[in-house]
Amino acid sequence: MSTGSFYKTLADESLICGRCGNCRRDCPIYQELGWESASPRGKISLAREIFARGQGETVSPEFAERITQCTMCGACTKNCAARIDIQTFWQDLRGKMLEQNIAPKAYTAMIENLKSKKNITNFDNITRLDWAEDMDEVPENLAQESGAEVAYFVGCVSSFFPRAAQIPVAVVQLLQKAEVNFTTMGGEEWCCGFPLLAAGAKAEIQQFAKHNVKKMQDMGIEIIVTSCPSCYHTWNHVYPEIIGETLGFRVLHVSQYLVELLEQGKLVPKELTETVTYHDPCDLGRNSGVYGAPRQILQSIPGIDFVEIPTNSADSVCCGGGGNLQGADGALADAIAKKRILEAAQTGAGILVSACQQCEQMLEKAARAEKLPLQIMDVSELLWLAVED
Amino acid sequence: MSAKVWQEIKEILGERATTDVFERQFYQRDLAPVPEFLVDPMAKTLPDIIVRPCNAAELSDVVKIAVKEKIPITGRAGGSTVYFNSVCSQNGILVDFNGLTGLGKIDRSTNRVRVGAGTTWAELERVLNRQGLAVCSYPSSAPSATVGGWLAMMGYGLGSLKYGALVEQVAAAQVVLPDGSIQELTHSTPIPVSWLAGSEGTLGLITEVELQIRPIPEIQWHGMAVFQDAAAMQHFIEQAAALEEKPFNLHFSDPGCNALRYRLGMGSEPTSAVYTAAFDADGTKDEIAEAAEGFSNCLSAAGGEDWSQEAAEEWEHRFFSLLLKREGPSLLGAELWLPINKLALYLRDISSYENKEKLGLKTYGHVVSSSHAMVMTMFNADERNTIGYLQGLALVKKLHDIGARYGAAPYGIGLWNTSYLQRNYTKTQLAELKQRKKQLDPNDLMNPGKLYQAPLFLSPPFFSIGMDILAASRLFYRGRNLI
Ligand SMILES: Cc1cc2nc3c(=O)[nH]c(=O)nc-3n(C[C@H](O)[C@H](O)[C@H](O)COP(=O)(O)OP(=O)(O)OC[C@H]3O[C@@H](n4cnc5c(N)ncnc54)[C@H](O)[C@@H]3O)c2cc1C
Ligand code: SF4
Ligand code: SF4
Repeated sequence: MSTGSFYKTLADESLICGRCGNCRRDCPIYQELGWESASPRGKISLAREIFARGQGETVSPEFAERITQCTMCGACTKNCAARIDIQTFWQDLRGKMLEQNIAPKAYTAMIENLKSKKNITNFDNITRLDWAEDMDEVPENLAQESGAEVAYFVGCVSSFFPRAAQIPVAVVQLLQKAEVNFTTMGGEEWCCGFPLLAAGAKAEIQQFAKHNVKKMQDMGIEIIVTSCPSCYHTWNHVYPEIIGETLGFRVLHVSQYLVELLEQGKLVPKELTETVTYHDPCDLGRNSGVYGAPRQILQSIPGIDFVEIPTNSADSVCCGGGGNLQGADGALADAIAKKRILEAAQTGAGILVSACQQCEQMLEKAARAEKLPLQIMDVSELLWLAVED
Repeated sequence: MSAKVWQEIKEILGERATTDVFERQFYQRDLAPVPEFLVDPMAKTLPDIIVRPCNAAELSDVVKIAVKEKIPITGRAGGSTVYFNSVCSQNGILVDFNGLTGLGKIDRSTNRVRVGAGTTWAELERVLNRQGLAVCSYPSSAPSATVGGWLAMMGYGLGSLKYGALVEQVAAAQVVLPDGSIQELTHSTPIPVSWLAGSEGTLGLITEVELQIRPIPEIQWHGMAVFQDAAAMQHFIEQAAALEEKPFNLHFSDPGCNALRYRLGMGSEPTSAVYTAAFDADGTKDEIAEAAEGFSNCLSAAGGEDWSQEAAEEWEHRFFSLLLKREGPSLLGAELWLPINKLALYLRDISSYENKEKLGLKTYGHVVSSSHAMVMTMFNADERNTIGYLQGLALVKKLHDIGARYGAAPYGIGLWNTSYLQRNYTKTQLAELKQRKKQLDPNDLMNPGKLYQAPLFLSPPFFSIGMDILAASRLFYRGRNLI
């Protein structure tokens, strides 16, 4: 069975939709809101009336709100009986909102900010490596070291958000410990552009892709490692399409690279007696097919009792943090996170591990709000805990 | 709808009720993109109020208001049917069942589970599988179809050949009857639970179902047989359906369907030009061994070729049949309840019709009992081309008529198949059904306009003549993508 996308255009795909409703099954938005208008099927049906059946081409404010209520988790695409690439559909639909000037302010402000700052925050891009100041000693090779084999693409959230900064610290310490010849792009790292796609600004991602690829090529990098699943997905699936050829690097999520280092005996974890569960980030698991590596890491740590959340792997439910939902409807994003953290808590685990800085932020906030005795960690943080002297 | 009624309903359901037209518009259609000018003379499809109850008590209160005020009530769950079964025909209250979910107690000694009627089959299976259990059967729309929705329809699908129709696995159901009372129906109550099967939401609203389940099968085995002609495939199917150790699923495709699948990246070139029958068994190792031996015996007897290397892929595709719309963009077709001993004759006539009309017909089907299959014959259409689409609808009637030559009836009635009622039921059976309706719902409030009687435009002579004229007009006008 071909797994390639059949996607043609928004109008074509809306007509292909058979309105069966399979896509409602695991949609966190539909499950939370309950109205058919909030279901993927409902939104596609209305898009069909507007863009394929000539009912005016205009997106109403109510419909615009529904269009922004989506985490781009991909559960609909996985279940679609007509194999529609529904996330691409949502990107195109959001693109229509931009065209019609009815996109939420959160989108337009973010797009403008990205264009000027090259990252999703207000900080100057040159401060991208400020997180490294949390380390006892900042590695000399951290910024654009020539001759490095591996480049760690840190990602905006881990670079600039204080809580997430513990992730790059752990990753870099692990790379040092394993004596990897690595560097980062430093202030030359631009956002991977994934938030632009999610906001419907497809054209704008081009310059981000071209810049990042060119810089990596100039640095002579062989392996790119990302700790953000959305960066990983973008480098692996979106950039080759934009560049029009294979990029010439191996692109790995950090969990995949750490498994290689563990297998080579370059990292040797010590015992940790903890009950641990794992939340699959949508862009790493369902949308990129990486399920095994993070679990392999957890299982490589002696003493860990690993328990699965009932909905896991391809069925894993979103944390609520994707698709620019937080900016458009923060309360809805929080409600989705709450469901997920409660499901994770039922496992009885003391630590919930994920492999995405955004999932960790969402789930940590939800755990705090629910007063759950659940510690949230990135897989690299946990491994570092088991490896450090 | 009066402000008072709305206020009363709002008091019961709060935010889970709405009169907002933006929300209501989404419930006006099902899978069938029938053009407005055809629908409007027959049905008022926009609900006045949508309610999303979470339990039987809330639903009962809503139904009591509806009865008092004589407001029609239409139930909608997955909304995965095609004949307007779950679309209002006279406005009124639409009950969205998707909040009536959840798994109750599992009785492991009897292998029975109590489940909310709005739970989808896929969700039920997922939750049961975690506990080492499985459902006995499910529709191929399992990710969207609900337990209550399938019971209210005919309840045949995957697993039916081995375990029988859904109603045979239902021990009891909690129902809100048209008078608003909440009742537990079993096979021995004065109103038996079997009345609900195929009632299409016209006799009562199901809130919970007590279901026979089974231990999760130890293993699965998938076989596929290929045949050069339909007669050999029928022979295989008849033998396989009669096996002692029956397959969980037995389904077939004709060359038209297999060629399309191949164009879409499935199957292989050799199977794209032949008839195929997929044989999916599950159970213990011993049961599987017996089933696999049965498969081989049936295959040799029918003179087919073993092509089991493609069987697993076909099984994985079981929830993705709408992929076949890719060359549409729309599909039109007839879904028939056909005796399997007439399958080859039916396929022969379909093939002749195809040679004449060049519609690009494709047929597939599931064998769901030792005597019958659910058969779907379809062709591409384009809903944007109104005249062509309308002519396509007329051609659907031709397909039904071909099926009727061999004792086939439509599978599911709703609104659009009411013109074929006499093919589904004898006069006595229909009188019995109408009697039940009168007894339980004397005011005809539950899903009115469906199942028992065709509206004027769909009444047999009117419908038949109209459709024949339309089909004939195709000689003069050929709709886009219909050729
Ligand atoms: C891809 C695909 C494959 C399919 N495969 C099959 C198949 O294998 N077998 C099969 O039988 N059908 C099949 N169908 C048709 C349909 O999906 C099923 O009949 C399904 O069981 C309908 O369930 P639903 O929850 O979607 O009900 P809906 O479509 O919402 O409703 C169907 C009818 O049941 C009534 N109803 C719904 N819920 C209740 C309730 N709780 N109480 C009382 N009445 C209720 C409605 O009023 C309506 O009349 C298929 C459809 C698609 C799109
Ligand atoms: S991507 Fe996720 S949130 Fe968005 S419609 Fe699909 S399932 Fe729902
Ligand atoms: S699953 Fe796919 S075909 Fe079915 S309603 Fe959803 S988008 Fe449409």
